[in-house]
Amino acid sequence: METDSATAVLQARGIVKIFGQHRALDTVDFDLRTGEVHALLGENGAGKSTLIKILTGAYQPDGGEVLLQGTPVSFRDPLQAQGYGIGTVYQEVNLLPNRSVAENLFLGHQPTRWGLIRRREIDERAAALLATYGLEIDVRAELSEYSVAVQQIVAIARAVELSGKVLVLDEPTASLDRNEVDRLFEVVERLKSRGLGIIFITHFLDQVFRLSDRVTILRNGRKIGTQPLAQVSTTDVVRMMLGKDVAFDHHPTGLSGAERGIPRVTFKGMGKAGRVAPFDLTLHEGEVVGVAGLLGSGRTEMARLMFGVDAADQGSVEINGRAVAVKTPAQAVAAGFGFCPEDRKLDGIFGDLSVRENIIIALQAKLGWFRALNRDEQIELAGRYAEALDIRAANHDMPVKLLSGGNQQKVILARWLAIDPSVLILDEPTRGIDVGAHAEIVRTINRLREEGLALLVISSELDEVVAYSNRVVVMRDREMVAELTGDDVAPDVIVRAIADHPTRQEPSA
Amino acid sequence: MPGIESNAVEPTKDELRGLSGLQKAIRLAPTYGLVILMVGLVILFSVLLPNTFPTMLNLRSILSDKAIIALLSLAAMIPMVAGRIDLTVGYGIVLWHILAISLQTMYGLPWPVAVGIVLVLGVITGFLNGLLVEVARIDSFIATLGTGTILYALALWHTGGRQMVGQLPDAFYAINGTFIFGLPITAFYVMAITLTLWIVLEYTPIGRYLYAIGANQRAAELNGIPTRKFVIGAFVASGVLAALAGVLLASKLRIGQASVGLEFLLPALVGAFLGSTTIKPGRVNVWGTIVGVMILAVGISGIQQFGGSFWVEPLFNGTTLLIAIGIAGYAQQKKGTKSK
Repeated sequence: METDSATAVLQARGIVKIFGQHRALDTVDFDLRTGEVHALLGENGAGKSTLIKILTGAYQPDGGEVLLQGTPVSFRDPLQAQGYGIGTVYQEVNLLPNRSVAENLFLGHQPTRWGLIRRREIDERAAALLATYGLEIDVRAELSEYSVAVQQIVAIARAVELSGKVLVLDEPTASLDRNEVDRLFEVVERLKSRGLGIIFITHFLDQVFRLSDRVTILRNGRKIGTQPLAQVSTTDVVRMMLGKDVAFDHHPTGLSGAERGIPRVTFKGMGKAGRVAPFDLTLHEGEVVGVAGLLGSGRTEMARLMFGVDAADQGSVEINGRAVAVKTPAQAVAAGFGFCPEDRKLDGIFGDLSVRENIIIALQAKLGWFRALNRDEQIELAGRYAEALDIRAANHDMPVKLLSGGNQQKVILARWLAIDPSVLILDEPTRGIDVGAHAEIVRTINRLREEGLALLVISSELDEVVAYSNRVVVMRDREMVAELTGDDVAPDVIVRAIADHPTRQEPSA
Repeated sequence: MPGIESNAVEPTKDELRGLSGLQKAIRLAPTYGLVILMVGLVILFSVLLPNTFPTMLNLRSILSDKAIIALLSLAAMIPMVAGRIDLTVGYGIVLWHILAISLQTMYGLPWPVAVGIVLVLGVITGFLNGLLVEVARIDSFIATLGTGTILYALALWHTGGRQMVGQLPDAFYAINGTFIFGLPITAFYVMAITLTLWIVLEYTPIGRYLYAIGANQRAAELNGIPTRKFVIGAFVASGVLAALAGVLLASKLRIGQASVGLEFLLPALVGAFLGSTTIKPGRVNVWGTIVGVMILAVGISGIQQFGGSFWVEPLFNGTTLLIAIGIAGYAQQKKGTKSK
């Protein structure tokens, strides 16, 4: 299908972006029309932010081209893109909180006379400008005196003023309450009717359906599709976001009837206000419990509560029927828990330390600081787990940051296996790693289950979750909304559980 | 396969096996470059200055001169392992060496008590720094700059700008002035502390924890390491070592004054930074720090014997630091891009 370049204000054709060996974007097409709100959806690592950074000039593509009103353009940096008419507003307001609203609006292009800023003119123009956004505030007051929503509208006004053709809204509603969201949406509608093309990034599906005309869905750096929202359901969208490129038939897992052992750990009424609603969950010996849910559904927050990274403000943990305190990671490790965090680089890997040091660190932390692992024990441990998990490193004294993502993930897995855990929590263990390592990790999960471990695995890859889970719990809006067992452990049922019940109905204001 | 080639800066036995002598040397050069340079400088100066440089007298003077800087360097290095910087080492030594004398002359305390009090104050200062950094979450550079400056102010207030002088017991002078096997006793202190720190940092869980915290504190926390305790502990160790250096300085100078001590701060940091480019390149380490301090000592001693002026010392310190860090950074960058 030909894109209508007459109305397309911004187009991307065959965009490729490669980081190291990782294809962050693989021949992605995208087009934005004038006077439309175009939502961009995808899980973490799908390529949303990479695409936006290319469209706004923060990154240069390794292949493909960007067209602005039909003309190929290449932006050196976001400033140049702004000059061409493309403005961006981020979740965190990028303005100066300690300057006045007016100054923020005109920062960098203040009207001057004899080198002096014309304050009164700035104030007048700022007030007039904001009035067109339905915002009547004292523009001479410091920006920080206003709510995030107002600041966001100021940021939008500034971006539109400076650019005027395309507006990119990167998760603008993440820190807004419901009334503020309504207010922001009014502004967006107004801009849309003025003919701007607006790219809207969010992980709130209800907002996508409320505000957007079309949606483009990315997964693993590829474009899955672009659809007018009038023609798709929430289920379709979730399916496109989470599924593999196969039809979503009813494929129940072969594992649901498999034997599982006695309860290993029970979380009772565990929760934390504002993060995760209280949930009950029991993990059994020799069982994998999969966790499905969209980004921001509370799945990671749940894992962090279980491991004591964030202390729960209610609920209890029982291991083999005995109550234990898990308020810190140290207590969780002592209780025999292991945790592979979602963000490998930020929370998992000690980049500058050697492979060996990375593998032994959790065990050494568990042993405490009076019982040293001597060098031979360390070498033996590292060697054993590197072999068991097929960690490909030239030697175990090299810094772990030089390994590929998949091998780094295996190193973190090895680290937890070394403490001989009884419960293992894996948050997106296969994200962003190559196919070979991916298969290896899935194999390892299956093997660990057979060896009697209790596992909780969070994943955005539904096929994968179904392949290794005995049960699946579904998270939505920071709440555990479903527990699927037996034949229900199937992609189609999971997608429905995530999507079917629409997100909480908004009370009429 | 991706990532299979070795990019380690530090070569392993495995890699060296089967390499020719020259290849081995090339492979080892980045690791032992600074050591080789030091040996080279010693040989060079010995050949050029056969009458003054390779003498026992010169060795003694270098050792006794640089022992204090070596201790301060080690003191600064410990928090660096955990990814923090401690600037109080340079300010603390001003107050500590004054107190070590004034507690005896002004308050009539016996010297062991005076030394004990100074060491305890060093512990307290380190603990405070640790609290500021870990509990109050103030950046370590700023926190220790603040406490350091306050210590310096206390030194000025305490002395009122005067020198602290008085008759001190011989035993106090002996802390610094004794010779064992013809070498100053301070060299043996440094050796003992170096060995202790080396064993602790390389072979005990404490070292593993501190390096892990320095590499990625969030991950360290998630692995059940009590990061807060260990960071505070690192500052305490640093504080007590700096206090010890102050005691040695007092015993050496026999006079306490607020104008002495600050000049040690930068060489001490330079030593620790230089150390991160050798022995275990890419991370601060005990022997590297000692090598760093030694190369500066040897270089400056040689240059001064050639008749270099008083300003040569800081010039040499600064230049060596920039070159060493520059080369190390370049080498790492090259390795880094190769792996991509």
